[in-house]
Amino acid sequence: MKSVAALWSMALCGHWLCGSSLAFLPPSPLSSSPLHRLRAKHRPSATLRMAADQPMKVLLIGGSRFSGLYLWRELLDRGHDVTVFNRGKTALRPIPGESASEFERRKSSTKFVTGDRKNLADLRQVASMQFDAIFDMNGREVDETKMLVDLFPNRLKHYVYMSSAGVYLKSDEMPHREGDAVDPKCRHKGKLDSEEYLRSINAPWTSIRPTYIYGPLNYNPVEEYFFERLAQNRPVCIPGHGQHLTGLGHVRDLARQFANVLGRPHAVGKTYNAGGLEAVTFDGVARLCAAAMGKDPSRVELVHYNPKDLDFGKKKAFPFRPQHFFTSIENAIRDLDWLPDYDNLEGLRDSYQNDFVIKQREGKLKNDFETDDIVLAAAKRDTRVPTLA
Amino acid sequence: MKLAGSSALIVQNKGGGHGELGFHLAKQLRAAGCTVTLLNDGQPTAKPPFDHYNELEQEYVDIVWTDVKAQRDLSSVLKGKTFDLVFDNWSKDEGTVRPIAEFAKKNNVKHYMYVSSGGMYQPTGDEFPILEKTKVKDDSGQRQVEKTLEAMKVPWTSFRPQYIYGPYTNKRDYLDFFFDRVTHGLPIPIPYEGATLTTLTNAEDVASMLISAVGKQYAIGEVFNCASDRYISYEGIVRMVAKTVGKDPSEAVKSIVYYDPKRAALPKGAFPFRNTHFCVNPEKAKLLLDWRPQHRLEDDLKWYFAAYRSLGKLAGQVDTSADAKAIAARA
Repeated sequence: MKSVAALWSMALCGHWLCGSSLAFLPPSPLSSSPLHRLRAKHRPSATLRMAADQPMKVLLIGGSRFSGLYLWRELLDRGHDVTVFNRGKTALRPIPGESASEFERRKSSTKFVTGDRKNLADLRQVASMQFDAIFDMNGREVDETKMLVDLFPNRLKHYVYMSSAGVYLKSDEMPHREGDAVDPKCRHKGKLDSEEYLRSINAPWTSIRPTYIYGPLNYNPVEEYFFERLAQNRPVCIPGHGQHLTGLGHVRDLARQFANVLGRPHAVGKTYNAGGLEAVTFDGVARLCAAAMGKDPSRVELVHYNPKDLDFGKKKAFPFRPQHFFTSIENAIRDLDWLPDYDNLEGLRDSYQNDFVIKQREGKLKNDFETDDIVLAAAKRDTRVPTLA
Repeated sequence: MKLAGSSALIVQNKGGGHGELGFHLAKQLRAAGCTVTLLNDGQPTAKPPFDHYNELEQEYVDIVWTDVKAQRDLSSVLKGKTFDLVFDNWSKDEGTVRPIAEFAKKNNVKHYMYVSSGGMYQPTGDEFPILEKTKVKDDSGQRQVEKTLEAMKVPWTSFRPQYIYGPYTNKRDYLDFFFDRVTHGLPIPIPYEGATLTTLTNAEDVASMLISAVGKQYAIGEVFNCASDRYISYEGIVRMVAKTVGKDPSEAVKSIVYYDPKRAALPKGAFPFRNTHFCVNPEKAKLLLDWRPQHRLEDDLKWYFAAYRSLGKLAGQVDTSADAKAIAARA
């Protein structure tokens, strides 16, 4: 267990863990609070930096779209030697916040290996290379994991696997904690099987289980769903009562958590949940997104509906399943010397300002409100108060 | 400082939700080798948990009964004894904490643990669980106590619990509400929806958190949420209670009637918990005090139900006077 002193120094002043000096400050809007200013001053990272993050040779599978992309940047910033393996389908582009020269340096200092991870011949290209660690960011099925990790028997210090909190069995007791019952019938069974395989071969594995990841360049319309509607001053249609709590995690915090596994042998053989400190209700996500956009959250119009009453065809009407879905990140904080930098409002604001606004300007939003119109038409017809019961 | 060989003063209130904390504190401190004086407010009574105080006396806990508020100087009622530690499970506001704090200062008390309240939090309602940095009610008496201890430069740590239950509880409302209706096959009125989350904590776990702060200098001046690390939904409590009493949980939840509390306008306490989410996150204590809860609600409900039966409640009548109003306002 990490020492309390390490946790304390990591917390710095003004963070949740060490709050007494600010305990008596009057409340104020987050953006101007002393708490926020102190934390901003201590960015880019609240993690405890080891005296020298021992540089490692790292293989990154994926790395082109979202979480892998930010991890790539984080690894380079820490002085690691990065090889990226992917199909090369996504054009290289700067990460929001990455300067032109940083982008150039990333491109020139990274080794690129092109291939399909489902193709053993393609993977063999990296088998002969030396790596201390592999970050497996886009594996879905156990065969994929097996094919990759079996190429490196006893050669790695770390095999870090992108899993999912979707493996947890739905529960009356929250939050989901590592070690809780998992759902063998879940959509993410492949990730569960992968974790199990890694465990069974005694690979130096660490698995990270995020809930919903968000942030600039999110290809999954999570925050975008809300921003699109609010930008059009449309009501936000929410399945159920709107009080289900969902965990959100900013992609930059996730990248730091992944990178923090390196050089921490006690993290080997463990799973760690990923996300922020506070979960949000569905209604709350709508309100926080409004606030992130500079709109008045109290003026957000919410329409609740029972999803069982309506037929959306093949379309997905809402980004979250109507159940509680959030995790405890206590073990990651303790073992990985890591704390999230972003709270939900700051994170959503980052995504809005550095991604949505640009997409909006470039006319790249889908603005597909077909499912909303189905909900709203039904709401007009039916004046009963909707419940999920 | 070590617990063994230290002396502790516990100031215990007259009962209610925090009523048995003094008992468990005394027991755990004695087990750790601490000398304990338990100063109980009021007159000796046979009400639980005080009917179990003979167990403490057998462990050489010095039990003193007095009207705490009437004491201008605690030294006299405590016969000039000195203390290293104070566990204050009594003060409610600035006026009541002052004499205790002054006594602590005069005594050079090294650490003053205060049982505060998680009820002071004013979350926005959109984000849970509640962290220690969440806004609190300015007019909260317990907040006044925390501020007073700080202003008086007492070496204090404050603990903010939620709903507490225990083997000697005299406040049974939280769980009896569910046991009454599940065992008697009655409708179970629940406000709004069953997914609403709350936390219930075993009094022994609350006590052990307070004790875990002793000797930790960095805990001085800090507040810690003090609760179980598992939040449970209202329908989850129904399922858990059903399982405990031998009924089918998926059948039991069919008896739930969701109502609109605004339309029902029920008397205070008709439903034991809040209408909306309210759960505090205790991980600051888990990370910094190395504290772990030892109890899980599902295990505790077994002995809780045994006590429920031995109190004759299984056979008894249930007061459902407020239930009809709730059901009339169903959602």
